[in-house]
Formats: sequence, C-alpha cells, structure tokens
Amino acid sequence: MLTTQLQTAGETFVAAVTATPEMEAFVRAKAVFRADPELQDLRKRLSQRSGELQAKQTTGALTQQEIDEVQFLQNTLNAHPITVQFVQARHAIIARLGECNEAVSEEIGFDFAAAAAPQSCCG
Amino acid sequence: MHNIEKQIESGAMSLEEVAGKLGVAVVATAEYRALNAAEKRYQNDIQARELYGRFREQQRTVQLMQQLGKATPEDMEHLENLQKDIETNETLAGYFDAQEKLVALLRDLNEFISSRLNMDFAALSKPQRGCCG
Repeated sequence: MLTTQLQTAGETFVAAVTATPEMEAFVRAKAVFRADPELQDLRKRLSQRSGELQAKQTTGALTQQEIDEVQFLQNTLNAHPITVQFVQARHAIIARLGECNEAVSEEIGFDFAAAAAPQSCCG
Repeated sequence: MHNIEKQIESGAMSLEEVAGKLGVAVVATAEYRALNAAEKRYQNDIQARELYGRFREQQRTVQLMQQLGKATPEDMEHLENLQKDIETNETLAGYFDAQEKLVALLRDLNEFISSRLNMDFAALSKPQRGCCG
C-alpha cells in the first residue's frame, strides 16, 4: 500500500519522465512503427512464416531456402528506417530511465530496479 | 504536474533530481525505517550473524556436493536444521520479514509508475547481468 507521499512522488516522477524529449520521441517513434502499413505487412509475414517454419523444424522438413527467407524478412524489418528510429528512441529512453534508477538508488542505498523489477526467468 | 514539466523544461529541476526525490520518499516510509532498524539489530546480534554464516556455509557445501553428486542425507538434514534455527531466531526472522515488506512496497511503487509510463521502469532500468545474473 503506497503512502500519499510516495504516490505524489511517483506521479511527479512519471510527469517528469513523460515531459522529457526522449519519452516524447519514443512515443512518436513507437506510434509510427506500429501504424506504418509496410511494416505491419512485414511483421505479419515474418510472424506467419516463422510459425510455419517452427512447425517444419520439428519434423525435420525445414530447408535452407526457407531459413534464408525468414532471415531476409527479419533483416528487412530491422533495417527499415522507421524500425531503426524506433530502436534508437527506445535505447535513448531506456538510458534515461537507467539514470533515474541510479538517482533513486543513490538515495535508498541499494539498487531500486534490481529489488523492484518483476521476477525474471530465474524465479 | 504542469509545474514540474515547466521546471524541467526551464532547467530549474533535472529529471535526476525528481528521481532523487522519489528515493527520499522511499526512505521516509515505515517499511524502509523498519528495515534499517532490523539491519542494525542484526549487525549487533553476534549470535544471529554467526548462525546465518553457518547456514550460508552449509548451503554452499550442499550445493557443491549436489553438483558433484555427493550430497548425503546428513548434509541435507544439517541444512534443514539450520534453516529451522534461522526461522525461529527473532533477529533473523525480523530482518528477513522487513526485507520482504520493503521489496513488496518497491514492487508496488514500480507498478504504480510503470502502469502510468506504459513501460516497466524497473525491468528496463536495472543493470543487465544476463538471465540469471
């Protein structure tokens, strides 16, 4: 249960992060990435082919040509300027959040994120 | 909210300063103070520290023996007995309880922030140490 003071500090922090150029750029880049029809089509094809190939892999019927095809789709998606911009914007906001975590951690005397992050693969 | 945005835009307050204030708010909570008190108690309780040291040592031994396939029932029983001693030791039980309560609070705070940011603040900003780091 969060105290009023903690809620207020949390809301202030959220407002401050939201107002950063990094967050604004990230939100814009994400919206463009999601809405672009060419990328939507690429993601759909990639997901479809990956699913089909995964099924084939279990039966041993997968060919090199099919692997190359999926690799090509993935590379095309990754190299698209909109994707590149989205990934760069994501890196920038994550770096900013990392700086924020350092500032919080310095006050509390241990790593905030390491303690507060949801449990990962190791339980 | 607008006030904060203006202060950041004008450079009167940095984002790191706002984050620092969040840390200050955590330090002011009952859970944080309780953990501090429990930690001091633990540091001053030689018996509790010695018991925990023996437990950790036995835990390492059992893990090593298990890896080598040589863990004996006696090794396991010794570890279980030490675990029981820890659970009934007031200082240690209080210390672990205080740790759990503070971690629960920090997770709630992270959820509060992350749901508003639409991204997981702690998961994205924690130092990367690989999967089981």
